Formats: sequence, structure tokens, C-alpha cells
Amino acid sequence: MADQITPRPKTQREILLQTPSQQPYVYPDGTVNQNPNLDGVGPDGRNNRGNHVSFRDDNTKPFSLGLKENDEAIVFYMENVIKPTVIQNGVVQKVPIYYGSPERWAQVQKEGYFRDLKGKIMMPVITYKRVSVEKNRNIANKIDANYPNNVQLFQKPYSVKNQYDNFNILNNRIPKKESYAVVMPDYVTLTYDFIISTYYVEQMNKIVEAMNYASDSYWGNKERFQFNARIDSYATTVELVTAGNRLVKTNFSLKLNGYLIPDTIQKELASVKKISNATQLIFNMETVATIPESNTSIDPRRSIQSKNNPASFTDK
Amino acid sequence: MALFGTQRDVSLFRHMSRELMADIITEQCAYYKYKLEETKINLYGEAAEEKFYIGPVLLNTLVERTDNVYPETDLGTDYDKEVQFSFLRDDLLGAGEDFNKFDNKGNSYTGLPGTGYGANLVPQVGDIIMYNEGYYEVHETISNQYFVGKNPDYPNNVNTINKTDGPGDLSAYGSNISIICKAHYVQADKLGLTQARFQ
Repeated sequence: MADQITPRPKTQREILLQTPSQQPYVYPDGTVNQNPNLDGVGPDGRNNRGNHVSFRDDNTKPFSLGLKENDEAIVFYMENVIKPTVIQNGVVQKVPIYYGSPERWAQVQKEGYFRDLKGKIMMPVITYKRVSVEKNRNIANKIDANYPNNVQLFQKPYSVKNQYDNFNILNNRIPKKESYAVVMPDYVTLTYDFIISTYYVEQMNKIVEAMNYASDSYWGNKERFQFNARIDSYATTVELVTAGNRLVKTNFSLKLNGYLIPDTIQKELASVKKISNATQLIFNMETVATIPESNTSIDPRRSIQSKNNPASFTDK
Repeated sequence: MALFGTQRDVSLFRHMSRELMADIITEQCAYYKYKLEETKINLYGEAAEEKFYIGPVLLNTLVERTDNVYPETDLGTDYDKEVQFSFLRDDLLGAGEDFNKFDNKGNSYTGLPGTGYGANLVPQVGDIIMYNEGYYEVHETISNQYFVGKNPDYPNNVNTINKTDGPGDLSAYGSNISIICKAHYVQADKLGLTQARFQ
């Protein structure tokens, strides 16, 4: 077992060098065209038309991940994993969470399930707001937004147009492989301010314990995105104002290590989005018994001495 | 010796006030007081588990409503309202105390078994009042409306000329008319009186 050789995955550079857009064309006279697809139209004359691959009829859409997905990861994790609850009037009560300061009509009329008959907010509730987005340059970057060549390739496992059946195997036909290039994301640190409001300190204790337990783990939907979330401190206050209700509040900040891949026009124009493997046609050697010009009355195709099997084209 | 504000005068005003509040204005509210022995509190001084109440006691009251306010808080658009409830103090005294009975000297009530009228209730801060499907927590009680400026509970200056229980006794003059409760709106689900949350 010690001498077992495990396959070494190709580096990103090796993959990129295999793509047609990275291989310059060499003219018969030896001159090298750096890139024939450069049409000189782009913002600085380096727009590569070869990268303009259509996504029509493709069930995989260009990948993008925005701030909304980061925000949704938090509320998903809170509602489906942490599931904070309190005991109120002898009943286990689910604690609603919502993004702070929604539109008035929405919070009073549409999302009014945590309000009483008169419209007053019933505790406990958890609200959160994103307060800052800080760029993290310590992990990686796409180098330049004008020419984002630092990409990660994801190969499409199956394509209807290239079914790999026994016929293709017999004819040594290699199916066409498509890869999707996803630009290196912008790593950011998102800061959220949370406010937990309850009627009682005893209820607050339970919620803070639950939040603290979930801290430092990856928050989000396993089927979608997960981000590392950290909570460092909690500040609890009991507000008892004159002519007002007693309210227990806990404020804390949550730092989410997220990332962004926007779906901007700039990225769509400049970056490589979809790459196919090299397709090559190989013609077998053909010979003729006689030179056709010597006897034009004879159909030269009758004397082709090759295995002119059209299925022998090798599609790499 | 005081000249005005004898118990007969007080009785006149009591009858008029009671008739006015009960038969003419007829605003009512339900008054809840906590059962202190049964409602347990925790380390933080809060009854997070269950609350037990005495009542509700239906009382005639004069209500001064303020406008609804919708303050923008950290949690969003909230709701608040302050209401002032004024009670005739004699309505809140003990049930066996008849205020319309006088001794033969015309002094204040004698404590004779009466008509059973009286709520036997002392409004305090923290009590709950239900009014128009809303619950209000009392945060202030005011009891300083004295008829002719005298509170018979504190006569202080005993007239040395007239003997005690005589016409010169200041405890037979004036009256403490009302108890005013200032209250603010409180969520129904916090009190556990009615089901206000269905999710």
C-alpha cells in the first residue's frame, strides 16, 4: 500500500494552459499570434471574444453570490438549526427573528404574527442588521477586476449533448467536457448587530446560551452556503422606564466570514465563464491507386484504400 | 372648628358621584391584582413561569385616553398608549363598610354592617387594568383630591375646645374623593390572561 500512487490533481495553471484561449496560434511562417480572439473592442482593447460563451439552454447558470445570500445564511441557521425558544406562560414559544427595520406595512400587516391585537410587539424577538462589510485581503483575491484570471474551474459532470454510451466507447470518442469558471470571490468580513429582546432575564439566559453554543461554527444552509460566524461578547441590559414596560435586551455583534461574487456587467464581460475541453479532428491517411488527374473518367473515390470510417474521427 | 365639609356634605357628593359614574357615564374597566402568595418570582424578581390574579373586578371609572403612539424602536414600529383611570375611592373600600351610615352625631361612617357595596381593593403600582380589549399596567397612583382640602384620615389638629367625636373633631370633615391610576399599555401575552400569540 505504501507504493500506491494516488493521482495528482492538475494545478489551476495546468488546466488553464490546456484551454484554447491560452494557446497562441502559430502561423506556418513561424510567427505567433498572441491571441486571435482579441477583437480590440473592450475597454482597453483586450476583450476576448473567445470567452463570450453563451449560457443558452444551459441548466447551469453563471455563479454569483451576493450579500443577500450571506444575510440569508444567518436567518436560515437561526430558524432551522439554533431554533431559539423560551418558555412563556407554561408554553414553549419559538422566538421569531427578522431583519431590522422592515417597511411599516410589512411589519405591521404582513409580518404581524408577533404583534398583539393592538399592534404592540410581543417579546421575545430577535432582530439583526448588517452594519459593515470589511474586505479581507489575507485569503486570496482575483488580482484584477479588469482581467480576473484567478478562477476556479468546476467541471460539469454530465451533458445531454455528449452522452457517453457504448457506441462512443467503441469508437474511442471522448465526450466533450464543459467546465464553468468561477472567479475568485472577494472575501469579506460582515458585521451584524443583533438585538434580543425578552420580557424576562430568565428567557434571555436561554437564548444567549443557545447563541453562544452556536458561535464559531459555520452558519447557513448545507445545501447552499455556509460561513464561519463568530460572536465575542454579549451585553445584557434591563430597561425599566417610567410609564413603560420592563424590557430585557441583549446586544451583540456577529462577525461572518463571507465572500462575494457579484453578477455585475463588468464581471460578465471580462471574466471567463465557461470552458470546453479541446476538440480535435484526426483524419486517417488516405491513398489513391492512381492520380485522379491522369484519368478523370474514373471516380477516384472508388479507389480509396483507407478505412474511411466516419466514426473514426477522434474527438478529444 | 371647621365650618364646611361635614360628612353630610360629603355624602351628597358621594351620592352624586356614584350616580354619575354608574348610571350616567357608565365607563367600566376590569381590575386585576396579583396573588402574591401564588405568583412566584425568580432570582431576577420576575414571574417568568406563571402569574396568578385576583379578579377581575368590574369597576366604574372615568377614563382619560391619550392618542395611540407608534414609536420607531430598534425592533421596528411599536405601539404604546397611556390611559388614566379615575375611581371613586369609596367604591374601592371594603364591602362591609357602608359610607352612608352616620351616627347620631352626623359623623363619618361608623363601620356598621352595610349594604355590601365596595370592591375591597387597593390600587397599587403594577396592577393590571383591562379596558377595551387592552391591558394596562398601573405605573402611578394618585390619591390627593380632598373635598374642602381635608383628608379625614389625618385630622392632625385636634380641636381642644371640642371633644373627640364632637362637632369640632376634624376627622369628621372633608373626604378623600378619588384614586387616579395612570397606566400604560402592556402586551397581553406577557400577562398570560388571554391567548394573544398563536404561533
